[in-house]
Amino acid sequence: MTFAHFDQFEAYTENALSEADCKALERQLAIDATLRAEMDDYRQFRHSIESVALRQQLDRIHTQLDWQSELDNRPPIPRQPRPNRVRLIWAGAVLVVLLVGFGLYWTTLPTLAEKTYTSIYRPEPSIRGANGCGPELAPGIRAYRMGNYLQAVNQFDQLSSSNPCVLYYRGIANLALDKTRMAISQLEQAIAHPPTVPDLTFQKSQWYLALAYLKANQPDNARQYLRTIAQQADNPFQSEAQCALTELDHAR
Amino acid sequence: MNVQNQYADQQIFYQSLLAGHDLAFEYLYKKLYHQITGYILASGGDRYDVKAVVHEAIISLVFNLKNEKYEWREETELMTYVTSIARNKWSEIRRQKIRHVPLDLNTMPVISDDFQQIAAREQDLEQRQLSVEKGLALLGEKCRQAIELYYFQKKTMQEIAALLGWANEDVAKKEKYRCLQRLRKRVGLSNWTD
Repeated sequence: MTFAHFDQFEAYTENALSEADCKALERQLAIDATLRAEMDDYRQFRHSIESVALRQQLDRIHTQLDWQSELDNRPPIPRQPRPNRVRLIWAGAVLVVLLVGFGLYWTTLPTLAEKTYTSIYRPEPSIRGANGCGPELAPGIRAYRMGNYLQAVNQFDQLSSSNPCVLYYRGIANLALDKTRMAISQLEQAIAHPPTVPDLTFQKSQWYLALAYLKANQPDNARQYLRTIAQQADNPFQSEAQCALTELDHAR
Repeated sequence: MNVQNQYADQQIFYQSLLAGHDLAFEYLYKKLYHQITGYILASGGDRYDVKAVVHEAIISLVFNLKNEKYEWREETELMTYVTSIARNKWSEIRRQKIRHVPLDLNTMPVISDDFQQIAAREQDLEQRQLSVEKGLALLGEKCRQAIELYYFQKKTMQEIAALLGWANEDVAKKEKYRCLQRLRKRVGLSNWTD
């Protein structure tokens, strides 16, 4: 390449040629392959020189960005789609409802004692009502037999608590009304004074007291009375008590 | 106006790169670096490869911009263009790395002639750039200064003449031409005639 060509190429690259000279050179380049090759050679050589400065500039930029922690060398972590806030709230609500529901279900599940109670409880049968408790209890017992337990309780409440029969009937009426604690209290009072001779009201009080303890999920207390009943050959609830004990002990 | 907004204008970005503005290169560097890092690291490269690829890609881009091999359109296209250059550079580097590993010839990947020619030319250019850098350092002080003042610092020949004590612009031009001849000789390129 001659100096004249070189000088022309420099001026052309710097946009320092007049418009006429520029067009003349472009025309020449279009038809002259040797000149085109020279131009290519010039451009590549000039770029080689300029790239030295550019490389230094890039090195400086790299150092600066690296120092500013702008260059992250870790592979990009695929961006996880952000969970929808409304969906999150709904999911949370559903979870809470499920947990509460499960908790309620769990707490309402009958225990073994309650299951035993359910399987063996029967309201006092009429045949077993045949005793000498006195005619003043008749309206209450009648209401009880008909399933009007609240009316029965009201009737019995009007009678004296000194009579174990009254306490017994109050107890079984309240047990039927699911007033278990009250039933336990009244039945405990009913057996507070054991009779000297076998007494049906006393035996029935023991039996329903055992059932009341089962219903209250107090199996140990219930077991104590069930064992007593199960050992009494003349107790009308002996076989039921044995069955209840078997059921309770089987599941232990 | 921040850098992001400033270079959202494609023409400003393009002109700033051509003018060698530091902020424009910083903006491009950061964008390209982040775009290409995952790709290179995922395909067995390290952070030195990322740096080398980004540098070479930007240098190639600048060459293409200056020589009108690429004309600005949209910023996304410019980024796509420079990213594709970077990917090709990384392919070259990987190929060179593989070349140094003894391989069973039957398992060697088949590379097309076109790709080999382009890659070889790019490699020659890169090699030449490195040689020029070394050659410059070996030139005489005045020659090196003349070249650096003109091509690096973009001084006019009149300014260079004054700075280096040459009689006038024309003398300075001829001196610089001779310096370039010496540099070409050191690099092993064909001679330019007087």
